[in-house]
Amino acid sequence: MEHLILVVDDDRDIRDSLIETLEDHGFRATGAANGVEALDVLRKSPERPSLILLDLMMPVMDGPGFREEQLKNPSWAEIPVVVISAYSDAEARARGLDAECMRKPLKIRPLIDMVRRHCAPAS
Amino acid sequence: MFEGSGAAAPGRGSGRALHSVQFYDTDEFLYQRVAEHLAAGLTAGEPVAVIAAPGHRRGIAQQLEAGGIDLEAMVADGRAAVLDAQETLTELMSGDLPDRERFRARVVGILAATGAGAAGAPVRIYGEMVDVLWRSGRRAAALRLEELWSELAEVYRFSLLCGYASDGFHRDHGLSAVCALHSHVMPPEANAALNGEGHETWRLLSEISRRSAAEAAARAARDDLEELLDDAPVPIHSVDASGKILYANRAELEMLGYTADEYIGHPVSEFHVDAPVLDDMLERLSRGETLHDREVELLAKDGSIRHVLVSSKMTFKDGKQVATRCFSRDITQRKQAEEERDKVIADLSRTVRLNDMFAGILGHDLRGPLSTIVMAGQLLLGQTQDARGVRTIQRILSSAGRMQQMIGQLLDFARARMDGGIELERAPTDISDIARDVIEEVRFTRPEWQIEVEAHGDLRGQLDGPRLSQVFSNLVGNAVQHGSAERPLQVTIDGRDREAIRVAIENAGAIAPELLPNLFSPFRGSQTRVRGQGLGLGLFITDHIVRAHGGQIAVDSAESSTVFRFDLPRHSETAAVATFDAHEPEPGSGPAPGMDNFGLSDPAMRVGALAEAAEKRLVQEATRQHEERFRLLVESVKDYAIFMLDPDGHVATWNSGAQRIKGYTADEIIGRHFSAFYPEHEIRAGKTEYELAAAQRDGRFEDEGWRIRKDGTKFWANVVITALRDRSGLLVGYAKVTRDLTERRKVEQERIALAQATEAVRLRDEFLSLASHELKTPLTVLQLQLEALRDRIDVSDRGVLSKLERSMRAGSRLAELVEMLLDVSRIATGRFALNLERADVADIVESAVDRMQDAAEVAGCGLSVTAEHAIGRWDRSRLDQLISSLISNAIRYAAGTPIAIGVTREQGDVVIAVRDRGPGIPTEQLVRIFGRFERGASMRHFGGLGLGLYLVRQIAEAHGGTATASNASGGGACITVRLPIISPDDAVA
Repeated sequence: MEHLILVVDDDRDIRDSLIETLEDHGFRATGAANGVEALDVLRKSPERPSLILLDLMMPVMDGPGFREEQLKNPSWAEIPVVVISAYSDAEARARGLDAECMRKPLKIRPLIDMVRRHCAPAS
Repeated sequence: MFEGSGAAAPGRGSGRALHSVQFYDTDEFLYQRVAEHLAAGLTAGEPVAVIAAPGHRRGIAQQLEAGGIDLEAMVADGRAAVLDAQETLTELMSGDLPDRERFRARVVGILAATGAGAAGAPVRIYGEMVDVLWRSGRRAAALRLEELWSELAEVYRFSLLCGYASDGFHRDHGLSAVCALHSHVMPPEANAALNGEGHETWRLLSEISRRSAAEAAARAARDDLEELLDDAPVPIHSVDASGKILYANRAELEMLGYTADEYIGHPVSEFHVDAPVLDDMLERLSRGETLHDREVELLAKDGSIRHVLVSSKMTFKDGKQVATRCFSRDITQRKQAEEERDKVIADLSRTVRLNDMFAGILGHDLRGPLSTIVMAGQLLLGQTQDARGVRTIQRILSSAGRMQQMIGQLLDFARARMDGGIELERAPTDISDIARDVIEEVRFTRPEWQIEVEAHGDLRGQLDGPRLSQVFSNLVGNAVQHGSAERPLQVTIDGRDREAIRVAIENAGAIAPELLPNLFSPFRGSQTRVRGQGLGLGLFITDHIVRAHGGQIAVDSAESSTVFRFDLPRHSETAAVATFDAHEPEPGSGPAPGMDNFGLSDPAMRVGALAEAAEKRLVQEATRQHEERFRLLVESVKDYAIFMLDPDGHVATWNSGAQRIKGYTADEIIGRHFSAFYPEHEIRAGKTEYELAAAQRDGRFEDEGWRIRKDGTKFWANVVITALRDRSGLLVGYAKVTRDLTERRKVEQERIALAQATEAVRLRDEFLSLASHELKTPLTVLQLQLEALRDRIDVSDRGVLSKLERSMRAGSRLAELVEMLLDVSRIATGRFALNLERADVADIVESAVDRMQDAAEVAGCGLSVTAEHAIGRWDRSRLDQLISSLISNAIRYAAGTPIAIGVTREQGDVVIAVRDRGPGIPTEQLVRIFGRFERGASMRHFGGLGLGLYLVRQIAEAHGGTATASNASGGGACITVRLPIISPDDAVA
């Protein structure tokens, strides 16, 4: 079965674009509009995502807030996180969260390469 | 012993004690001299006291009577006191010596009885208690008593004449001791009768006494002057003919931070930064030239350089140079403020000049690629049937739409904030049409909302329809975005007023109270801003549009509802600009009643009538010389008004600085009360009395405020009032030093205005950062969708493919421009950092050239590269950006000509040169083109944000290098970047 990827971004267009792009490249993807929704997905989903793409600035619960909650739960803590942000210092912020980083605007090729690195061919 | 007891001290006014001795052979001679002494006082209105033996008292009274003065009557009306010498003496003695306390108590009592003493007029005394003691052989007691009188002279104002019978002295035994205790020695009448030796003794004693008195007077005068100079707030020093510092006052030492030892006695050249300037000054001074406000740089102890204006003059004696005296004014702060101001002004004027350009660039350069995408997207939409493809294209279009809307807001913001306002295009407009269109659109996109519209009266006016459409769209959009749909949205437009149309938009739901105060501010504070709601500029722009129409907007938010209300005058004039004019009450200049002169110009010494003319002259001359020197010194000061006030506040002296600053000549102002310099309301408020009282209480009073010149104009003054007291602590007047700080205050105010302007620049930079960040969200979608579309479409359809490729190029261009804006904001906010790693410049250049080949070919430019290897620590991506910028710049400006790129090594540097064969760069722009938003040609012709070369220089400088532009001799422009090579083995980041 294909890997599941969780896309957390409050911008609906970005979220949908990312999900579609991932689906185009053979992944399954699901979205959440903020940290709280993302935690909800983790709690309710029968399947653990292989990767989380995480925006930083979001209402309700932002990226760092989500990351903090995620790391508290041992069964979620192992899921790798890639920060997607338009912040000019996105890399530094991502390092602070012990996460990888891709700066917006995103390009499909590097994005897919990065996702593939984290998601070994489905068994 | 003579110290302070003899002549009146200069500058301290009248009435210092005079302690003289009269030797006599015959009583007749004594009566005559005592009577003269007393009569001079009585005719001047001074009280007198006589402490004498009964026979002498009678003789003196008779002598006075012969001159028409009735001593008894004087005693009766309290103007004179007559006491018995022996009786008084008995009261004073304690054992063999007079007791100080008793003496004081008794004599003060006598002085008080005559209404004289410390607070009153000086009193004239004739005493012979000492003579009684001397003649009875109690010489120690006599000398002690003389000392006590001298001590008292420090505190009280009196002129004491002591009488000694000359037969009490055998030859000169004890005579010199007695003389030494007096400031004036007057020989007996019959010294002619003595033999030659005796005559000579008296002559010598008198001479010694005279000289001592004169020296004491001079010393006292000098001490007083030095004290005054020392306390003066003006830095003063003097330099001798050899260039050594002779004297420096406290202000001078404080200005430079040295102790007296570190400064005085040292060659003045040690402290001058610029030797030729000093040499020139000294040379001019030695020629007798007076220097005024010569600017010099002095070295302070902390190593800093003080900028000082020096006014100086050489003094000569017998044609020889003695010393220069220098008055300084520390203008370091002013200099710094000026430099800072110049810098900010330069920066600001460039910013202001370029804001317009920035707005234009933002609109032109970002909108251009967006329109390309929108057009291509619309064409593609018509060619696509597949549902997923349609959705993708729709997203592309909607993202482009969002970007366009943001850019529109950014432009409005730039216009409103940086260019002074939004310009309206007024036309006859009916508001109801505008409201209807906006509401229809909202009903379509948000069908869950119920909107009720109520309109009354005439809704037409001279208004800007498209702008008002923005207002309605923002306010209604805001309501549906943040409000609650539980109740209908209520829009009321009331045109029943002839002057203005009033609009209210009400929805359910409240705005958090903490957001209300800044609701119309740009960005509404990035803390509270929630992404996905645009730039936070909607209400800011709405407010500006309403205000441009001459109306006002307000918001009312309670628990369950929020109402926005605004009014639109139908034929509005431009909104009046409120100006704040700090109004100062008109100065009053009622002249104060005239008063006696006081101070330096009038020595006002009351020398006893009995004093020898020669002594008087001698004392006066010594005093006069010092006064003269000081007066010249003070008068030559032009930058400060330095003058004296008498104890009641009347102007007593005047210098040229005072005349320059305040406009009065000495004749016009001396004698007038100093309240003439104060604004009327301050006089009424008792300011002048308060200042004198404070100076009297604390010794010194300093203040800054408005003062009035003779012509009624105001100036901003720093005022220091110093209370002047004599040695006894008696207030003799005030020294007042006034500086005109109008210029400094102006500078200070300019500084504040500049700080505000600088804040506006900062806001712009913050805005840039935010704008570029926000633009990235739709840009991300745009690029992802364009790429997705390319992956999905049928590449065999060349029409579709070319549209898509055009769109993707436009998307890349947009991304590049947004990234550039972001770079600028990084630099402006100091967050531009390099990521250094081992690299070869030749590699970086070659890969950049490879990437640019296609674009160069399209523009008809052949690229040629000659590159030496230059391995060092570089930021690979920044250098790539630098080289790409240079090449694309050359392509843009010199299309159709060959472009040569060279990398060479020169003395530890790597030199990257990009040379074209185009039109070259106008000479006046060679330096400027590296500025932000500058470009060598009109922006109508060339794209780009005008930031390329600015970033080139920033990247070069971040690497410790330089970027310069030149025109090659064979034509065309050449941009040269020179970077120091840091060995990759050096671990220095």
